[in-house]
Amino acid sequence: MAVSGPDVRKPHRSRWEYVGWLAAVAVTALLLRSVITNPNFHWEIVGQYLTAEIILRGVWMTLVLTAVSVVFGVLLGAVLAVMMRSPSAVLSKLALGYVWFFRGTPLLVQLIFWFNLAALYPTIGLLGYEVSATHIITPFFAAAIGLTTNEAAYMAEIIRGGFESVNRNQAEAASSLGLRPLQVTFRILLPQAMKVIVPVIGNQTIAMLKNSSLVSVLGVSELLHSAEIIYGTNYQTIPLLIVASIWYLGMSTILSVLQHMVEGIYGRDSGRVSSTKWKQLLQRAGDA
Amino acid sequence: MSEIAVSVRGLVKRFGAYTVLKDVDFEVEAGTVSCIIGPSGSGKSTLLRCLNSLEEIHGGEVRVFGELQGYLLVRGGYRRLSPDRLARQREQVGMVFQNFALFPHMTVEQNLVCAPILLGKETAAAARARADELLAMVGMTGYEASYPAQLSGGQQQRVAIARAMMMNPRVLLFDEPTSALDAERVSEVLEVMKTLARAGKTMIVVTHELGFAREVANVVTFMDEGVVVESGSPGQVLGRPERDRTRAFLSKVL
Repeated sequence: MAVSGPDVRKPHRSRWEYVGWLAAVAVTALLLRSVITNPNFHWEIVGQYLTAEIILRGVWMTLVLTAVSVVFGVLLGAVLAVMMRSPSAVLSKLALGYVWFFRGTPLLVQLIFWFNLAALYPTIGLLGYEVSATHIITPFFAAAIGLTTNEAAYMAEIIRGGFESVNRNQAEAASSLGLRPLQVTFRILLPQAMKVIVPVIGNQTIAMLKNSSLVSVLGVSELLHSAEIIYGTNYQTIPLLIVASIWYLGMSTILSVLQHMVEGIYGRDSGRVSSTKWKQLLQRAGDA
Repeated sequence: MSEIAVSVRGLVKRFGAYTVLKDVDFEVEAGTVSCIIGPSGSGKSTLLRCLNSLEEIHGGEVRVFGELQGYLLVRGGYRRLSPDRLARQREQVGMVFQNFALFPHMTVEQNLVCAPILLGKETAAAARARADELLAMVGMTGYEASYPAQLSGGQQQRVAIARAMMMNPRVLLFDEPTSALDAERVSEVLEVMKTLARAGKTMIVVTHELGFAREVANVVTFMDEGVVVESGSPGQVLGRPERDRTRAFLSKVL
């Protein structure tokens, strides 16, 4: 028997779905109420320091450290990934050794090592020209080097995975045309690997945003260290950690939105629209 | 007798402990079409890949117009060429793959002009002009700005043939060029290949299209279990095969 009136189809929805909503809203409301009404959180102090100049400078330093370490990490990681794929045993073993070391030791330990490099090598020099290590290895330099060298190890694996994802016949087709190995890698394989690599780089950037807080132990005035400086004098530890967290959460939210936009453009499906779009994006990058 | 384009002597190829090609001899005269037929796993595709140095070999020699392929004779032994030298040799030998292998991030025109331009063979303008000619030859005029994903399999394969032709190879290899196509798309690709054959291109075609072999090939070679069983004119190998193995194969596929 046919339905009278317009044929409207509703999706299946369990009644437990409504119970779940009620429970979720209730628990969230209770938690929020307790956090907001608890005077020990000192929300007035949070509001007071949220846009303090020292905090804003810390936010800027966090962004600089993240950008520097991701950009140089990608570049160094790309070199390492190409080395890992090289038929030369020397190059591939060197790159594998690098990744093995920098992925196998804690980032915090690496950062402290870079910071204390002057203790291991008081002077750094080449061909008789030597300078004092303490002058070169500033806290910022140690932080940037430490984050970059560590990030490069992860990026190398990500980029290598991107290369692996490209169909094997692409390399064969390119070399059967007589393209040289470097042309095959950079003109044919890398642009295709980008589809897989770019979304993961977004993930790494968000991780780096928060991992950069580790360099607070070196006394670099990024966001967390800036908060530490303030609560070191006024002992308002919790409110200032909340200030830092609000900034981290805000920045990672913006990065997530950007990541989803980029993922949409580099979409995995090789449908007509998306494949055109990501090609255009590459072209624009090439023109710039 | 005309010039020898491809000559294979005593070719041995192993994958681990498994010997795919056992002492294969094979020869192709310039300007002729050779079809290699045989059951799957007979080594015919591997033989083709050895002609283009896509595979390392374990015995024997491959020569293209007299030039030793893939290796250098050093004090009586063979040494693998450097990747750059291999690439230079491959410019002479074009290859068309079963799965087309067009570059998905490039338009049809970019697929064609990329190799000649990157290798400095001709200017961008000259390459584009020739790309237009070749696209006209394969019946793909008007698709210059399309991406491979927007084309049917038959269209992609015709573009792939044009792309291989852009390097002016002296020998063109086809590895089961119609096996991945819908039945109604097969003939459009075979027509392009017939055009090339009529133009006197030296072609070696691994195929299951016995009709094409009968019509176009000068020589048909039947391979089975890593050896050349029988080789001769299409009428002879396909019509009056001498060997039982050839007869058994033909009775199965016809």
